[in-house]
Amino acid sequence: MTLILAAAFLLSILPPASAAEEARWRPALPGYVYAFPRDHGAHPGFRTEWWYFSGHLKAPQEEGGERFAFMLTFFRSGLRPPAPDDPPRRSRWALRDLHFAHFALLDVRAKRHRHTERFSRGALGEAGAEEGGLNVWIRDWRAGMERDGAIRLAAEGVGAKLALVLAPRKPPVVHGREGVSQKAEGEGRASHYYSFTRLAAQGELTLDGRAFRVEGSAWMDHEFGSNQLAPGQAGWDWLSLQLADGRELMLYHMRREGGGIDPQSSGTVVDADGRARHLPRDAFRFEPAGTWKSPVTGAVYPMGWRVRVPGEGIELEVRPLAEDQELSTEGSTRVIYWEGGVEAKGRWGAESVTGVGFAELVGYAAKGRPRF
Amino acid sequence: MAQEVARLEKAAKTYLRGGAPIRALAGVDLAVHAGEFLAVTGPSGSGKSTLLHLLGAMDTPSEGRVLIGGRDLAGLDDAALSRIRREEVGFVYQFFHLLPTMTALENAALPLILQGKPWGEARARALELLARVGLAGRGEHLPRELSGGEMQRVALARALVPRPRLLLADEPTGNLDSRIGREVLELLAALTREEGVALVIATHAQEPLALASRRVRLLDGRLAEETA
Amino acid sequence: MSAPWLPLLRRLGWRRLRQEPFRLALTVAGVALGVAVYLAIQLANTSAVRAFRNSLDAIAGKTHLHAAGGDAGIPEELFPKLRAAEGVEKAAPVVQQTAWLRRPGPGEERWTRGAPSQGRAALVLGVDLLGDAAFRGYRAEGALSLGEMLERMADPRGIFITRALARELGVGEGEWIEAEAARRLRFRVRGILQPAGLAEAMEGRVALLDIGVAQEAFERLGRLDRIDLILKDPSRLEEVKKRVEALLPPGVIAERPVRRGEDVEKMLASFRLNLTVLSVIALLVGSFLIFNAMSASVVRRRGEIARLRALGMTARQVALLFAAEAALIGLAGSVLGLGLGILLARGALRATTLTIRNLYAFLEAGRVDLDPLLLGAALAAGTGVALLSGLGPALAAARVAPAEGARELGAGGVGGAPNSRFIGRTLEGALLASAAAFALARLPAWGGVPLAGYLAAALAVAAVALASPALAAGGAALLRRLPGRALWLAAHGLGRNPGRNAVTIASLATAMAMLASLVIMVESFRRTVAVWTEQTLRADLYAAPASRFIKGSGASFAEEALDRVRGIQGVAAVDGFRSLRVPWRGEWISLSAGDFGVLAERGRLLFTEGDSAGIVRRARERGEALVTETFALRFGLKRGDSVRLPAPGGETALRVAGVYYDYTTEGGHIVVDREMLRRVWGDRRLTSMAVYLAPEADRARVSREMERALDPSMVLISNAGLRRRVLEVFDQTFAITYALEGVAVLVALLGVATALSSNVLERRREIGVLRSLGLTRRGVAGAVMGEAGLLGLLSALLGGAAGAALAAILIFVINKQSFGWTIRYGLPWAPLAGYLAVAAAAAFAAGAVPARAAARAPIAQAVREE
Repeated sequence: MTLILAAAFLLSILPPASAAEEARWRPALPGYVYAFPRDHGAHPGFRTEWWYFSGHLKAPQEEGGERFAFMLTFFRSGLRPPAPDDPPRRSRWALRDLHFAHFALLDVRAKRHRHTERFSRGALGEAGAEEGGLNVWIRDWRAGMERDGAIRLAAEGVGAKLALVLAPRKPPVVHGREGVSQKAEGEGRASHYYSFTRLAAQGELTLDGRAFRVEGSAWMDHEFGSNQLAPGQAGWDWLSLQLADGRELMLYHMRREGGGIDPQSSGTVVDADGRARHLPRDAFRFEPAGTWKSPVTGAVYPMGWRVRVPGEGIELEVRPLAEDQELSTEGSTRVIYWEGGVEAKGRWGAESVTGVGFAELVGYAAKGRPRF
Repeated sequence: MAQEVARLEKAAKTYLRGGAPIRALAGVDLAVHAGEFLAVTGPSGSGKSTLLHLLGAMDTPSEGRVLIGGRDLAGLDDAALSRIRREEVGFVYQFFHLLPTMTALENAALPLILQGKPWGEARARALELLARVGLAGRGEHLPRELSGGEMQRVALARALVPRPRLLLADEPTGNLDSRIGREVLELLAALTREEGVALVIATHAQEPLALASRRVRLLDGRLAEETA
Repeated sequence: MSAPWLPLLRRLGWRRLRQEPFRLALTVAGVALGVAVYLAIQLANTSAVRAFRNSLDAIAGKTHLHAAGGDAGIPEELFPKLRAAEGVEKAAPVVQQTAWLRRPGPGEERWTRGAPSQGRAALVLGVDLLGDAAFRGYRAEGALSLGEMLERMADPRGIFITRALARELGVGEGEWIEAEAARRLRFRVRGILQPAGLAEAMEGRVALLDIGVAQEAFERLGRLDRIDLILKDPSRLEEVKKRVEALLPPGVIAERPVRRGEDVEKMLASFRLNLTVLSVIALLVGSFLIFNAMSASVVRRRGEIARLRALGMTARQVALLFAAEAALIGLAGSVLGLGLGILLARGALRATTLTIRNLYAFLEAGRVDLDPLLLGAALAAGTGVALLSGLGPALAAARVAPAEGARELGAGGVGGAPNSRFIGRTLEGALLASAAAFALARLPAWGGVPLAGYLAAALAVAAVALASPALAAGGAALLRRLPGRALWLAAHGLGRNPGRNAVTIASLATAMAMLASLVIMVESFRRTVAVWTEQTLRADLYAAPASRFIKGSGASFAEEALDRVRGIQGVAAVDGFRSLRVPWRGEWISLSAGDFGVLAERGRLLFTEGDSAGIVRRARERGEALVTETFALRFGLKRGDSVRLPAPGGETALRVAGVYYDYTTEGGHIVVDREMLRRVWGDRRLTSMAVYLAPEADRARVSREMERALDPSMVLISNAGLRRRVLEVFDQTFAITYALEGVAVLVALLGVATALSSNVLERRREIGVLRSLGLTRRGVAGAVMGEAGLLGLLSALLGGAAGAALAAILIFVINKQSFGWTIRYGLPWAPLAGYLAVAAAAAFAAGAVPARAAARAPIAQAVREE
């Protein structure tokens, strides 16, 4: 879902491209056939692309049993669609994409949230996103898939250094219908969006000089598209949950200006065996239970949710692990959003379930509001 | 009656001084004849100098006519007037008006040089005149090396060098002591007589009156009386 | 003490002055001109330097330190290393080039045959906008965000230009422009920069490319021109500089960005000093004017002074009265001069900018900076000089005794007629000054500045002034013996007031001496250059990228072009020339390379000793270097010396095989065989080529084929065309010096007019007497004009003679020590005589107004006793 975030902040810094250039970007259209590992790699024909990783980690009990939630996202945003009459680019500084990355970490017990960002134009190989397989990086921040399918993550900053190996426990799940995840009414107002909904995580986290061996569970989104947002959209609420029983749930609401939810909002349910079902807008309810006002930006976010999927018998209460998990990236991408670890408790059919996950709330801060 | 050299007919002259018109001459009729010695007397400011300037073609009347050698000066251009001054009139001033950077000889020769005469001729005539005014051998002196009387003699020589028919002298002895003044005056009278030049002296000294053949008196720009 | 003389100043001084408006106007005008020229030059100089400095500041932005490698650039791999260096906060890569920008014309023809005459020279900067905003300010029209700008700059043919350039080129967003740099390129204007930050450099002659586009466009793949650094702690600059230097390969240096400005300013210093000295001449000549006017005033008012003294005024008060009058005239002139100077400054700035662009560096400067300090200085200088020159006459006035009557009126100049003792003493002074000048001219420069030379020149000028009384007296005495009525009278006039006339002659002769010396120097220089071009430019055709016609452009082209030209039928040989700015001994020098084989066989250099072909051949065989005369002087080198130059592989020792004359650049070159440059420096690019044709070749056909073979940005110049261009640049460079001299002569001519009108006023009675003796009006006018002509003639003679000597000082001492060029002294008789004749004729003409006044004076009033 973070794709929309990426698209949003790019919209905030990029002009509505000229019609001719706009037309050269490849739209996300139904019928797209996924192939892996190719589709883990970059898709330069699309304007916006991101690789999103989040997860919940825990240090061994004997080392204190500290709990952490992390988020690491790499964005690629194409600056200009390739044109047939463009001269061949020979400079290693040639400007094609901008690369951004956001890294956030929550120390659950201390409720201390920290975040940092990087950006680069990718000159001299400083940043990049390879085609054909997963390998994206900005300097020493990196997400890359090994030959055995494991994904290595590395990021550091603001006193935190994270190095993880993520092993997929389920095959990738493609969201939406016919290979497209619709974001608004209209052809191409969509993206190609798939997830690794459950990855076993293992690695090391150094926090303010203290090293932890950590393990846990992670989620990966990879999304690419060109022109998915429509005018009149004010922001969105997005939620991913990994339940203790081996099932996962993803939901999003596209909020419209002046209130109301876009009918193209949707979700996905993934069974323990990896089978997934699309959830149209009317198949679920995703309602805020309270609010939190950021002391930094003054933005008022919904905080805590009630989730109902009547068709699946799901009834969950979702609470943030900490209220302050706001990211203010005014330095570069100029977007203020809330992206944080959550925990869930409730029922799935007759059984009571618990779970952890991440929520993403965009479009609440007056200043850092994406421009549509 | 001898030949008429110059004549004023109802000559009047008005100056502007400080914005106010000053009538220096108010319609004067006067004829000057060859060989005569005319003394013009009158108090200061009575118009004596103006009368002389008109007779010398150095000024033009506001009204009336000036005739020199029978020619009416009205309508003559600068070249013709200059020519009259150069050839027909000589002038002697109270303060000599020698050119300070020129020697006595050069000063005396100046009118001939201005006439375009060759230097040799001018020099010969100037030397002759200098000798006649008693300054033989002083020709190479600069004016500042000469006494007042000597300077006036040079001026006299200069005035006579072009053989004018009329010599005008404006208070020629006014700046000299009485002895020297008398000498200069006698020289003036003698030389004009010898050369047959009409002499008009403007003065308020007594000596010229004795030597003059005719006297006129100016009062407020008018001829007041005439004595034969 | 102040009580009596202040009202007197108004009642006496002013009323007197008011009676002579012509003379007062001339005097004030003279001072005004002098002040104006002085101010204009100062304003132009400081504005140009400030524009240069501001441009460099805008280009450098917040950079504390940068790494640069001259024209060869620096490897881009250095960028991540420097960014990661300890103490470095931010790093920004820069590719910089000067290029001609223009709106694409209807024809695709080459710019012009001779030189690029269309388009605008502009600085094109290639930057990484993403990081560059921390260094330089950018504001694009339409309030584009950084990202919006980036997206547009991702266009491989996208360019941002300033509003100023858009206006000048007549293009708007979305339209195409052509740029001539290493190649002819087409760019689409993707954005317009508002005048802020970088866009303010070079008066807005700035264009912006993405760094990657710039590398491709300027054929700088893999290289950067600069890496700008912002330090974490600027106070530890020296420390970080050392750390950065440790990372740099040979031939790349770290320096503060102001360094380049300091270098250029150092080079400019001589040029600025020259102009300042020249501009002061007009002011000094103006001071003669005040002296004249005040002297005349004192003479005429002797009676009045005597009466005032008799009434109890002290000598001191009299002096103050006259000094104050001089100062007031000076003040009035200076105030007028300020206005005029500000008007003139625009033109002066244009000329100065052109010269700087021809000689030193690309510069755009259109705004005159009205520095209140300079305005104040000009005002003070004008008033002060007037006061000083009025001091002599004021003291003379103070010496007037109360008993002195009006009778002694007009007996000569200040304090009476100059006697032979005075003339003798001034003549002695003149001889002494000349001897001292001669001795000083043999002394070496002091710290690169030819102080002794300037002093010698000043003494020579003083000698001119001191010789004037003798000349006036002698001239008058001589001329009096000559026949001719008008001349005779004129000579008398001249002799009548030798003191004042000497001052007039002194001022006019000084101005003319300066003019003559400049004419001799510039003409000698020009002939030297012309002869040099004839002897050393031996190829039939030359080709170079159009942007090479912008000074300091690092444009180059690939050496493959040589092969294409070699293949053309009729081409006998091609010499590829490369010039690189490289750091050496803490300065930037020009390392050049030519094909010594071709040079030895077909070309020719003028060596200080030895024959060209032999030296070049030996240099080629032994891997030795040639240096230009200017380079040798700059670094104290001579034939046989060894120099060690930085090269990518370390230092390379080169023996100096010969020193040759060269007039192309100020700093000079060190030249090696191109094979050596290729081998040791790994450089494979060229900056120009010289093409020798076979004897029977058809030049027109060869140049047509060359045009086809070469990129359209290459300008082809014939041998004659190049020589013409060299002289054109030369003439542009010296235009301003001529203009300055012209003003000094003009001021001197005003002096002639005032001196004569003083004379006429004083000699009113004398003129009346002459008129009463039958001198016509024309005769009077002729005498006055004749006197003016005599003044002009004597000044021209004295000025011409002194000018010849002064030129020798300029050529052999000042120029040699400031710039290092050898100029062959030659007297350009025809132009020299022409200029002096015109000046003398102008002096004659300057007598016209006083002559008319003299002729018109009524006789009766003049001779009337009072």
